[in-house]
Amino acid sequence: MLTEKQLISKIQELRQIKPSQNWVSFTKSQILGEDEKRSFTPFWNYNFGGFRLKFAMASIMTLALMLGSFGILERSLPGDVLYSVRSAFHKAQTVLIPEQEKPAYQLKLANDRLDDLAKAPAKNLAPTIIEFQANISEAAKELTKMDATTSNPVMIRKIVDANKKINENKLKVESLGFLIGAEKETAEWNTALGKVVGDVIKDLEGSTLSDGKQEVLAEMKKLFEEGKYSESLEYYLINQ
Amino acid sequence: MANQKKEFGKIYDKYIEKIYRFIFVRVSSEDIAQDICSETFLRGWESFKTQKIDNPQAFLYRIARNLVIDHYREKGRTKIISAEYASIPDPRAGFEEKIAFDSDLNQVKAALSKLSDDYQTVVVLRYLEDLPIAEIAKALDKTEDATRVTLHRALKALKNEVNRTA
Repeated sequence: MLTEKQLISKIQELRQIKPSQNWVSFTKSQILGEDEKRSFTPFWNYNFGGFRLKFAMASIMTLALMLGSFGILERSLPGDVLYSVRSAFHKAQTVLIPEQEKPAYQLKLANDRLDDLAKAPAKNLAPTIIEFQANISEAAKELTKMDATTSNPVMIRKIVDANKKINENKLKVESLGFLIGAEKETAEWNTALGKVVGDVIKDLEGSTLSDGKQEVLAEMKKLFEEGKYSESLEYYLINQ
Repeated sequence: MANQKKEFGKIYDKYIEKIYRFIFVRVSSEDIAQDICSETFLRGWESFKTQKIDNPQAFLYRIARNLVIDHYREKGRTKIISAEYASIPDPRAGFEEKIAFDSDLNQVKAALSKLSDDYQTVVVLRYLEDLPIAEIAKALDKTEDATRVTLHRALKALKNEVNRTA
């Protein structure tokens, strides 16, 4: 005859029942992941109180196409009269970029400046470098506002790719004999990128992970500790 | 939406094992437990997106409980027949340990499956999941006093059932 106490302790032994970790993480990604695909809205379709950004974008794109068809702005290089107009046009476009895309967009602008320098190194060097530094600094600021754990992976991918391209372009320009500098801005950027990777790692540590994902996390942490933030993020994206 | 998703992800991580266990002890197989458990969290997530859920734990238990009831109702199964056959995954390696583990726990599980839905719920939530009476009352939509009475009767019924089959 079992006593009540013995019975309760037997019931408590049923705590050993646990679902498989692979099933747990797979189900989580099915429930939350599929919904993400269903509800994803391209930024140009966002609705602001009845005013569709799509409409505004269409007008701006028409204008940009008109100017682009003559190549007036995009062909201008540092030192040209229209170069400042081109830079101003790019800056103005920033307003229309959704928050989560801003870091990647600022990096793209920084890359454009490096491309400009590679094409016309002798012309108007100083203002272009200053602009490049400003773009990196702005990208770092935008990145600190970003929550990578809830961001669209496509955005993170763009940041990683743009970061890679900047490093390549910097080497290209420096091989032409120009010192880009931007140590302070690069440090700001690295700090911001490190925070993003740290947040992703923390988020993964607090989640239920399959064996495969746990290995990814371990490798990410290793790269993070070595200060290879971009590589750590890239590893995460490749193995998602 | 992104923040909601993150928040629900945390709720999922916190309660998945408990909800799974709550379902598993009441159904006939791991597959059915997984199906009902996924459906519980899917419904939980759909509701979470559109309304404020003050007590996610009680809310999820309520969904799971209703889905288990629906499962038996739809399939015309009785708990007495099906749940007895659900064997418990055995974490032990030794043969002797395995035998003892199987017979003890499957005996409790089989006895549990012969109780009414209310009795099963209250026993599992109180003694398996260590939930306070107030929480169980919320999950069952009962008063705390009524929950205490149900728990007392449920434990007595379970004890009788285990001793009868021992």
